[in-house]
Amino acid sequence: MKRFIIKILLLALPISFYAVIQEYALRTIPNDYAYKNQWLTENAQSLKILSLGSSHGFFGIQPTEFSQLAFNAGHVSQSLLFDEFIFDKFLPQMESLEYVILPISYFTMRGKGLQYGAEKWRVKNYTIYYNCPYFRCQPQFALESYHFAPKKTLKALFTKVNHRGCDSLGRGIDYSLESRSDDWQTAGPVAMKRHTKVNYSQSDVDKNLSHINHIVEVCKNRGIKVILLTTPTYHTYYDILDKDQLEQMISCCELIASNHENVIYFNWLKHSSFDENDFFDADHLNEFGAIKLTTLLNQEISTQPCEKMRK
Amino acid sequence: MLFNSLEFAIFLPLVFLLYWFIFDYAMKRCPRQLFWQNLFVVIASYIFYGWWDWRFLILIAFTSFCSWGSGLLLNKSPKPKLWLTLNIVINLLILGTFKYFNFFVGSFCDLFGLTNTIAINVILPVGISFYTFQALSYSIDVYRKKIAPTKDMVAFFAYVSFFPQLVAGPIERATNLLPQFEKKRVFDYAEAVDGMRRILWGLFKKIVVADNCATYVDQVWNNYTNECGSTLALAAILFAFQIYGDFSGYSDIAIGSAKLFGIRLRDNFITPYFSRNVAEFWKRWHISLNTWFVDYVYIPLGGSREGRWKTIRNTFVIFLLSGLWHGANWTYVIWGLYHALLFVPLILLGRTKAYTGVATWKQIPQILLTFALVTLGWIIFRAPSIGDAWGYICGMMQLGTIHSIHRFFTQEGLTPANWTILAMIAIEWYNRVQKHCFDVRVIKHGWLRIIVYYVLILIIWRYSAGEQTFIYFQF
Repeated sequence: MKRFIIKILLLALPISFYAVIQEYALRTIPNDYAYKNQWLTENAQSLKILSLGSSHGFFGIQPTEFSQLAFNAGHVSQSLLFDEFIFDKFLPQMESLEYVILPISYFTMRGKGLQYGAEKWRVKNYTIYYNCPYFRCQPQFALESYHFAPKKTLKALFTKVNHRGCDSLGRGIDYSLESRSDDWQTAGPVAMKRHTKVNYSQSDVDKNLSHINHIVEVCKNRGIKVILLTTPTYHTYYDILDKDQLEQMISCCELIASNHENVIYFNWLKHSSFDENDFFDADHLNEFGAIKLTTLLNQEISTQPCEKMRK
Repeated sequence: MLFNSLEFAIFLPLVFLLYWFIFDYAMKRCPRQLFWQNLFVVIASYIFYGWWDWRFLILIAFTSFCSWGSGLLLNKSPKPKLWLTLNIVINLLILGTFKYFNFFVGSFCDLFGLTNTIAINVILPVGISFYTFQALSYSIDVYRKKIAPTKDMVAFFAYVSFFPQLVAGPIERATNLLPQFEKKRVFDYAEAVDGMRRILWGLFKKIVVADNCATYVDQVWNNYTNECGSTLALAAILFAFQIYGDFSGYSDIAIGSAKLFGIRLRDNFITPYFSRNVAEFWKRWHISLNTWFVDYVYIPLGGSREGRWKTIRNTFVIFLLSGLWHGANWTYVIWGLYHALLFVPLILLGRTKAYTGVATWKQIPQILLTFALVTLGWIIFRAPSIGDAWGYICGMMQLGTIHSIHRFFTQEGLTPANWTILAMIAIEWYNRVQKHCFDVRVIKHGWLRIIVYYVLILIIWRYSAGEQTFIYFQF
C-alpha cells in the first residue's frame, strides 16, 4: 500500500509542480479583467459614470467623451450576472456615482449566461481577477491552468506578453476601422444567427430581469440614474432580427423604465446618425462610432441631470 | 458527482485512504471490521449519489431494502414466487413512475387525440435503471437458487450502491459482487496499479475523445437541417465515438476505481467497434446489460432452443426492451427494433456465433460494414424524435456528400482533439488481445511506461472540454 501511494505521489509531483508554475505564469499576463479590477479598486470613489455590458458596450462606449469621470467596465460576452456582480462589488466605494449605463442588446434578455456556451472560458477571469465567488468550486471556471499550455507559459515567463485590449478608461481598442475586414457587412446574418434564440426558457428571461431590477433598485436607493441602452447596429444586422425576440427585449426595457423613475431607456438600435464609417462589423461600433455614441449619451445626460447633481 | 470533476478527484483518494487505513488497517482487531468497512462504503456511496440530489437516496435505500427483504422472504416462504413477483412489481413500479409514466400516458393521449391532464412533474433519478436492474437480479438469482440470500443488510446495501458503478454500471450480478462484500478485501498492489491505468484510459476516452466529439456533434445536431451531407456523416461518425468514449470511459473509470478498493467488476466493453457483425457487436457493447436481458428475459422465453422463428421473436423482445430501457422515447424503441432487424439475417443464416477471438487485418471490411450499420443506428438513438432521425439520414444521403468529402480532413470541423480518435483506435487495435486496452504491461521498460502515462495525462489536460456529464446518466 505504502509503495502504491508513494509511486502515485511521485508520479503526480512533477505535473503538480509544473501546474503551479503555469498557473502563476498565466496569472502574471496583463489583461483587461485584472486592469479594470485594479482601476475600479483605486478610483471607484471619484467615479461618476459606470458603463457595463457585453462587447456592444465594451467597444461602443468611449469614457473620455463624457464630461465627468467615466469608466467602461464592460467585457466581451459579459452577461447580466457579471454586470450585477461588478456593480455590487464596487458599489460601497462608488460614493460619487451618478449614472450607470447598462447596455441591453438583442440577445441579452434570452441569454442563458456566460457560464454556458462557447464563451464560458471567460468566466475564470471574473473568478481570478475580480475575485468573484460564483464559480470558485469549478476548476474550469477558477483556474487559468485548466488546459496544459506550455507555449503560453514560456512566453509569459520569458517575454513581455500583454493581453490587455482596452484603453486607460476601459474601452476595447481591438475593433477599429483600420482593422475592419472587407466583408464586415455580411457578418450581420452570422451574428444574427448566433444571437437569436427562438426556443428560449422564460426562466432565463426572468433571471435576467431580476439582475437588471436589482441594479435599478439599488441605484434608486442611492439616487443614481440607470441608463438602459441598446447600441446602434448596421442594417445588415437589424433588418433580419427575429421580431419576437427584439420586441421582447424592447418591451422589457420600456417596462423597467416606466416602472422606475430613475431609469431611462434609449433604443438606438437603428439610430440614423450612424453610417458605415462608424461600424467595425454589423453589430459593433468602431472608435468613431464609439465617440459619436458617447457624445450623444453625454448630451442626454446633461439635459437630464441626476438627482444627486440637482441637490 | 461526476468522475471527471474536481469533487471526485478529492473524494476518491479520501475514501481510498479512509477505507484502507481506518476501516482495514486500524480496525484489524475489531471483530466487526468488515461490517464497519461495508458501512463506510454505503455512506461514501450515498454521499457520492447525494451530491447530485440527496432526496433520491430514499429511493435507492427503499429499492435495496425491498430486494434484500424479498431475498430473505422468498427463501423461507412456501410461496417464493409471490415474494419475487412482489419485489419485481415494486421495483418496476418505481422505475415506471419516474421514467415511463409520462411517456406512456403521452403516447396514449397522442394516439387517441386526448388531452393529457395527468402528466406528472418528476425528475428522473440518475442511474435508476442501473441500480433497479442490479437489485432485481439479486432476487431473481435467489429465487433460482443461484445465490444464497444474505442476512447482511449492510453488505447488500453496499452491493446495490457501490459508488463506482452506481449511476452508470456495469450492472453487476449479486453472484459476482455480493460475495466480495461478504469477505475481507486485501489490498493488491498490481490490481491497484492496473486500476489506475484503467482510470487514466477512461478519463482519456471521456474527456479527450467523447467531450470533444460532443462539441462538434451538438453543433451539427442543433442545426442539422442547414448542414451538408458530409458534415452530417462526419457528425454521425463522431457521435459513434462520442458515445463509445463516454460510456466505455465511464465503465473503465468505474472498474479502475473499484480495483482500488479490492473489488473486481465485470468488463462492460471489449473493443466493440472491432466487431465483425452485429451479433458480435452486442457481445462486446454494454455487456452487463445485454447479458442481463439474455439471462432474465431471452432464456426464460426459450432463447434459441425452440426454432428460428421463436429465436427471432425473442430477439425482438429483448431489443425492444433494451431500447425502452435506454429511455422513454420512441427513438430508443425504433433503435432497438433496428438492431433486432439487423439480427434477423444473422439468425436465418446461422451466423450469430460466426466470430470468436479477436479480429484480424483481413476482416477490416466486415468491421467497417458493422461500424457503418451501428453508426446508422446511433443516428436514431441521438435524434430528439423519429422525424429528426429521418431528416438527418435523408440529409446525409444528399448528392453533395461525396463532393464535399474533403471537408472531413480540414480544420473546418475537426479539432486536433478529434484526431485523438485515431490514437484511441490504434491503441485499442494493438491491445485487443490484452486484458484491457490500456494494459501497458506489454511495455517492458518501466521508464517508458511512465512516459506513456505522462503523455496521456498531458493530452487529457490539454484537450479537456469542460466537466461534461455522461450520456448514460440519463438512463
